[in-house]
Amino acid sequence: MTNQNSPSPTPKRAIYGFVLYLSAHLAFLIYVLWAFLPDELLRAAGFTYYPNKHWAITFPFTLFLGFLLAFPIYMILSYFKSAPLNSLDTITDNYAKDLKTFPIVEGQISPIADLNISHINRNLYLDYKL
Amino acid sequence: MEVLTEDFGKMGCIFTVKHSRLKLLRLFIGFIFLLPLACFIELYTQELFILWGVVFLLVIILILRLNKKVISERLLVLPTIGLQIQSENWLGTLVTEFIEISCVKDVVINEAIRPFTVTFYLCVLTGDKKSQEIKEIRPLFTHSWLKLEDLKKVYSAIQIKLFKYQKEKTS
Repeated sequence: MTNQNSPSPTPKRAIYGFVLYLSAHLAFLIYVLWAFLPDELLRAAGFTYYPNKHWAITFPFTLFLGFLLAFPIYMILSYFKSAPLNSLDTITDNYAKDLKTFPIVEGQISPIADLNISHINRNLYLDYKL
Repeated sequence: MEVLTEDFGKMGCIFTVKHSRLKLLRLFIGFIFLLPLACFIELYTQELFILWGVVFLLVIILILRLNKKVISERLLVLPTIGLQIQSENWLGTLVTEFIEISCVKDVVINEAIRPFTVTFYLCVLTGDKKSQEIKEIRPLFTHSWLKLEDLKKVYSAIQIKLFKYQKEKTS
């Protein structure tokens, strides 16, 4: 079982790695050839159906912009997903456990449960100097 | 933004938050920014009816915006009766909401995420008359986000008056 989960090299992983290495180099070679060779040469060699040359610049630029914008987009998405002020999700959810449902035994460690918001408020915010 | 408190002892208390009707500094800065824009689109060379149309459109937008602009929010705390939440907007319209005391389960200070900030806000936890369960949260003072110190004062006052919370020592 530990053999399956350890990160040490195995023959299977070595083969996958080598295939990935070869295909990455091949893909890069094809990309460079497609980007730099003129259209007439490519057509003379027999390749007539390939993407427009401007993609050689557009695609890397789009990828780069994607990496740059990924963090702000992630932040904005999480703000969209956060619960509105009047939803019950801000104080509780379906998995909240009330402390009263557990029997209290003297001397034992108290069970893990969620604190009631009223209780927290009384302890934190109630002060009598008005 | 200050909270004005009117205390009536056992009968209750009123908390009012007022906003200024006219914010002169903002108007001035807005004017400074709009003037180059108007010159850029060469508004001074247009026909008279176009200018009147622009003025009419702006007045309509102003009225629509003033309809939603809240100038004061008030909370009436009436022990054994309930809570009344009132908000008045610029054109004078009053929106009032009353929550019965048996529906008010608690009034707490909650923290929530608003766009690009985390704020404290006071809210009423409401539920059915018979059950202990909390059905809804009604946020208070949503047009004037108060500081935590002010919220604490309002919270303490409500806890003492509505729930008769007795505590031996001060916190």
